[in-house]
Amino acid sequence: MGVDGDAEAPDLVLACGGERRALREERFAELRIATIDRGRCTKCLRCIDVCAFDAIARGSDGYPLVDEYLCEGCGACALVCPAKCVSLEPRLSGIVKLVETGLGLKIVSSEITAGSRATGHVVHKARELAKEMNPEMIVVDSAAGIGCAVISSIVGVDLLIVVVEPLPPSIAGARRMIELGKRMGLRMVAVVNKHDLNEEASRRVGDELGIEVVGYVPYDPTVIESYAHLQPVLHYDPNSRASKTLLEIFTTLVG
Amino acid sequence: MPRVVAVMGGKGGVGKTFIALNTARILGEEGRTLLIDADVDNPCATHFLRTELVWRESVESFVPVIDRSRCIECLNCVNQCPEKALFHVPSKGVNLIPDLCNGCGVCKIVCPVNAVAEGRKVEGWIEFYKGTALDLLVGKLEVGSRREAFVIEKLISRASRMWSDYSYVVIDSPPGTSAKLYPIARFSDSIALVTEPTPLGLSDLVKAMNLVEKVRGGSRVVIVVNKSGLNREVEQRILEIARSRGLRVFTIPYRDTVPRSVAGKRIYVDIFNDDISQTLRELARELCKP
Ligand code: SF4
Ligand code: SF4
Repeated sequence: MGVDGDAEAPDLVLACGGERRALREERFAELRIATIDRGRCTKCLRCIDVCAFDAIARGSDGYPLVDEYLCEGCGACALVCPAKCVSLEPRLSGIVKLVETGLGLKIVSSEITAGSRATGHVVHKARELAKEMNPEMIVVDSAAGIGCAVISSIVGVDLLIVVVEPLPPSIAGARRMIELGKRMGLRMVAVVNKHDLNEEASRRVGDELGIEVVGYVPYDPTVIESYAHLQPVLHYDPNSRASKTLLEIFTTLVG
Repeated sequence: MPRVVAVMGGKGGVGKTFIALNTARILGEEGRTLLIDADVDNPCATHFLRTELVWRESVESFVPVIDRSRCIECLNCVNQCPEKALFHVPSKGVNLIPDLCNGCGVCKIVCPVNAVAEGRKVEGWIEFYKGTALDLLVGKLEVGSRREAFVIEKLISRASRMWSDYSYVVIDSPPGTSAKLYPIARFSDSIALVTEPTPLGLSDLVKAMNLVEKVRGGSRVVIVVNKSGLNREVEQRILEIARSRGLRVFTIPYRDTVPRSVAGKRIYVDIFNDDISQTLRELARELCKP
C-alpha cells in the first residue's frame, strides 16, 4: 500500500492513475485557533506579550487581533487573559483519504488545508490509516527536505531509500537527509537518479554519503512522459531503461 | 522600501530556484539586490553564487528547563502542554521530549511554583553572504527540527530589518502550501508562481494559487510555465486558468540548456543570450513594475 507523505502537494494518487473511488475519508480539525470575544475583552493586551509566535497584534481600534496563520493554538493567551475572553476554536487542518486508483492500487493520500500548520499531524494520520489496513508492505512517498512532513513520513520505517541526483545541491540535500536518518536510527540505502547527468559524480555518491548505493537509474524521458499519462513508468513502459533498472533495484531490496 | 518579489509554487522540482536566481541576477544589474534563500530544508543558492559569508546567527526558541529543587510535581505542566512534550517519571520528575516541544511557554505559565526556567533550543540558522552585485541571505533548518515555518518567519523578519539597504529583494520559496509560506507571501509585492505542464504541476499550481489568494489579495501574481512543451493539453489548461484569473503567463521551453546551466552551477543569463534569457528579463521587468 502506498502513502503520500507530501501533504502539502500530494501527487501520488494522480501519478498512479487518478482516483477511481474513495474507500475511506477522514477530516481532521485538531489544530485550534485563538478567538477573542470582543464583548468581554478589556484591551489589557497581556495575550500579545505572552504569545511565543507573535501571532497577536494590537489592532487600530486597540483590540488584539489574532493572525490565523501564525497562531499555533497553544492556548497561552487563554491562560493569561484576566477577562477569560479567549476561546480556542477548532479548524480544519486536513484530510486523509484511502483511495483505489485508476490502476487498482491502494493509496492513502494526505492533504492539508491550504495555509494550515498541520502538515506533520496529517502525514502521521495517513500512516496510521495505512497501518490499520494491515497491508504486507507500506511505501511512503515523502516530501522533499528534512522538515516536519519528512520527519513524520520516515519516523520508525524499516528502510529509508534516499534518492539523490549527481548534482551538488541534491548531494548536499541528501547529506542533511542522512544526518536526520542517523539521528532517528534508520537503516538507509541510496538510489542515484539520472546518474548519466554526471557519471563521475555518480560513482562518488556512495563514498560521499557513506551509505550503500543500491542502484543507478538513467535519465530517461519516458519517466516524464509517464507522468503526463498519469501512470508509473513501470506500468507505462515496462521495457524502458528506467523501468528495467527500477525492477532490478526493487528485486534486490525486497528479495 | 525595496520591491519584494517572491518565487513560489506548490510543487518541488519545477524550477523555482532557477527562476529566483535569474530574476535576482537581472535585478542586480538595476540596483542593489538581496536574494533570500528561504528553502530552509535544503538551501542551495550558495552553490550558484560567488559570495562570502559575513555573519551567521542562530534561530532559537524557548524550551522549558525544569528546576527539580522547586518542582512540587503537581503535573500542571504535563497535563496542559498542548504538544504532549512533557512526561512524568515518579523517580525522575518531569522530563521533556525536545523534538515535540514548540516553545509555546504554556508550561511556564501554569507552573504554580516557578519551577520552569527558560532554556533555548536551536531551530535553525540565518547566514548572510556578500557578493559583488548580489547579496544572499540564507535560512537553514537545524537537522532534526520540525519547525521550518518558525525559521522562515524569523528569516523574513530578520531580512526586513535590512531592507533599507536594497532596491530589490527576491525570495526563493520552499515548495508546499502550508503556513510556512505565509510570511513570504505576506511580505511580497509580486509573486511568480512557477509550475510545469504536467497533471501534477497543474494540481499543485491550483493549490498554490488558492493559498496566495487567501493570504495575499493585493500583490501582483504571474504564472511561469517551465518545461513548456511537455504536455500541450495540460499547458492549455494552465493558460485557461491563468486567463480566467487575469494572470500573465511566461513560458520557458523545455530545452537542455536549462538543466545544463543548473548542472554547471551557473546562472542562465550569465552564459546564454537567447529567447529564454529574453523571457527571464521580461519576467523580471514585470515583477518589479510598481
Ligand atoms: S513550551 Fe509548550 S510545547 Fe514546550 S513543553 Fe512547554 S507547554 Fe509543552
Ligand atoms: S507545573 Fe511546575 S511544579 Fe507542577 S509539575 Fe510542572 S514544573 Fe513541577
